[in-house]
Amino acid sequence: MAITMLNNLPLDTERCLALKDIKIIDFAEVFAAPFGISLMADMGAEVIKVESFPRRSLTRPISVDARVADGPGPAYEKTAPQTQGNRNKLFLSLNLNDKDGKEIFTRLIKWADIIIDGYAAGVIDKLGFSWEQIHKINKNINMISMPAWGVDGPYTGYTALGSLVEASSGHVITRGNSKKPTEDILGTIQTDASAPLEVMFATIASMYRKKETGNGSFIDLSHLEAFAWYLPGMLSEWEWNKRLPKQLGNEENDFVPHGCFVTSNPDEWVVIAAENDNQWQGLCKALLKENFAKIEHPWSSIIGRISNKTAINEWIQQEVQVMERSEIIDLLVKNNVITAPVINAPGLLTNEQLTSRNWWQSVDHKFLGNRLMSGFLWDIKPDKQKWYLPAGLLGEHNELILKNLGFSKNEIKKFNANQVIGNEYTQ
Amino acid sequence: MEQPLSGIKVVEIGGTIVAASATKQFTDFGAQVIKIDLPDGGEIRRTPPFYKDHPSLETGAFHVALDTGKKSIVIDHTSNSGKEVISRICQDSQLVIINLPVEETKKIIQLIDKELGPSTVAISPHGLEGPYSHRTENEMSIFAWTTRMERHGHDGSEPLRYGPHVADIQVGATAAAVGLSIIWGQDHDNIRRDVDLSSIEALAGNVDTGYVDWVLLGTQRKSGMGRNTDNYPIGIYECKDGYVMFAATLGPQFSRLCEAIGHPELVSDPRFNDPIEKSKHFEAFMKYLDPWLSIRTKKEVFKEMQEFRVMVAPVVNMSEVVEDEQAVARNSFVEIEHNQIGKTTIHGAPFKMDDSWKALPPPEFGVHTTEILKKLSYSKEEQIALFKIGAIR
Repeated sequence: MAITMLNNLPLDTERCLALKDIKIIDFAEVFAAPFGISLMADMGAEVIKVESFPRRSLTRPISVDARVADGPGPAYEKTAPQTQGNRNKLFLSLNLNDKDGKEIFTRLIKWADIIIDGYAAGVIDKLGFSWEQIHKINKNINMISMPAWGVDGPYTGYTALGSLVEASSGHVITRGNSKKPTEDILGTIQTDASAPLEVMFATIASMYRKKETGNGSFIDLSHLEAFAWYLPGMLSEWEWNKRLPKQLGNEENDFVPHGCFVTSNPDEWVVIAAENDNQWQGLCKALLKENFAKIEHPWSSIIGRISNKTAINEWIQQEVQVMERSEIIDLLVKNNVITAPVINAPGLLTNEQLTSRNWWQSVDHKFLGNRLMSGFLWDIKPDKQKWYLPAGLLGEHNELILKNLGFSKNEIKKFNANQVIGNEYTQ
Repeated sequence: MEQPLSGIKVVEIGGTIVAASATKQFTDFGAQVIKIDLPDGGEIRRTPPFYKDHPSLETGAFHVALDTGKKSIVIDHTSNSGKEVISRICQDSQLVIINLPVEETKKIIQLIDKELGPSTVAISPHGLEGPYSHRTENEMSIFAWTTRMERHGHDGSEPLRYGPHVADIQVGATAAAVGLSIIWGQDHDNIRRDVDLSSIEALAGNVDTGYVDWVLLGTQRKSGMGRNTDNYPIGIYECKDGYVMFAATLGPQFSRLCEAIGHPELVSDPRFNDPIEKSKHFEAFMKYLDPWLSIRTKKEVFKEMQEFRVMVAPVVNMSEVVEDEQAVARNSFVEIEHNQIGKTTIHGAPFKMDDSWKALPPPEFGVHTTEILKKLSYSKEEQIALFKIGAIR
């Protein structure tokens, strides 16, 4: 079924269209899958996001909680995760427990090239849409399912957030400060940042496979495995040398300095590193201790620097703590030393480089107003990426989508009346 | 059945962990990747750990795991004669991924035929243009720029990076995702695309930064998943043989956890069923949770709690990761045969699609130089001339 629904919207024609012939069903709520799908929508893929109705989506609370922005409009239109991971998509709200809802979903499956399922293992099967059933409806469709630990094995059905997936990768125990208790290691959602990239790679790879075989594929994408390959050093250290990785903090075993130092303002930190003799010379010059880099000084060689790690770090800390952050960074940059401010969220706005590259995206949203959102992960020429649709409102494109799927005005009216579709959450 | 990316040709120039991780997925899914090795081996071949602690260009962990199945040719890309060879290699490919210092990267892009040549992904810390584009950075300084380091530290103490090269490999995986997309695009619309990928933008634009929370909510949260005594249990808790990590603060999660530890009455206990009261009674709650945890191993906590659909996972180290029953059942690790190390274990497929993923051993330094030059129709005399002048090794 060749329908290009986006053609029905007044859109900037200069946007990137590299993936324009890929049609995606976004059947997912939290972080990784929706964000990975937005990355493809940025490049022209046509995406329909199917949201649970009348039961609310997890990222759409009906009462104000910690992740809801102030201002007019319902709480469920203004949450951070919903806004961040859902640009450039069309929004359909659908009751999949209803017979008509299932029919609509069936037509969508016939329309799509790929369905990306971000729910826990088994959820979509219980709705009557297992991979076998989906593949029967459309033999050309691809499907990605992405539970935390994958679709099979002894942990099938277990659920997690990113922090827990990371705990089971071996990474968590190596983060943190070795002088502090293990309980103090913070959780991160690193695996929510790595999985979207695999969602994108897997989608295009499955499109190539489909071209060759004329048949859709099922992709089992474990959040854990999508991240685990980022840790080859830790794996080989154990496999080859029987050493468990230590908590290195900001240090490196094989060069000095490599650390984080506090400036005259106790809330402002800088990182400083010298990976080779040239950068070390630059650092010594910047801090007016050029003799530390002369051949007769023990610190001039990597060997001397490694055996005097503590003294070197103390020296740098003493110098840095009497300087302002911008002052030390300017000085070190001038001398080609590796350095950067450790910035917080508003600090990102002070990065002149991002401004000069027009990275920030000014986005208008019905209830959130105009906001300066973070930009794209990459810049493409000649066809630029655009943030042409903000995160959709609940059911915003219901009628457009259903019309394109061949439903009549009367049918759409009936679906609305029967709560098969809708644009308001009450529960 | 062919591998999904068979027939696609990709070139990698840079010698870095970032560049190698960008092309790894191409080769493992069937594409041909020509790796242009730097004359000194580059960062990827020189980064520890090494097999049995013996440093060599063949036995570094990052090279062994991330250069699987590639072809290696050693070229001095700074010489004109070297550039001549690179230009011919690129002309015979669909995608070139470059991660060199910015000025050198631009010179490589100039070699590409703007009509019929391959698409490119140029990776640099700040992007190819702009006031910071020439700054020297490394993984830690890039990470510091992205807001994640600031969130990864307790108030008043040193902010920390993540594990070594985790951010590098994320940048590489980002380049892979956009790289494959522009190959697909060019296959369908014949438009050659150039991607300018700034590592800082790639990390700062992803979902795990604090920026969007701040711009929408006005709040700046430390990494939200750490141990918290106001709302609990979340973060790391000690059990009989180590630690587990919880994310079970929300209403239904907390209720199920109370049931799992045999105290369903706590669900309606006024100390715990109101957010404000709950924040005052962490110690009281631990009197119920601690004894339960202290007699169970992390594996037991994981399995018993997950049966109650409580979000918890064991905090494990690498020796446990490779033996984990889930990893064994899913073949999450695979063996490759390395000509110096012998059989060695690396991480398996990042996702499973039939039998589309296969890791072959990494190439020895420059082992395919002659084969590649011959394919590009360089005569024996020309190959000798390139060697004599030092453009190839």
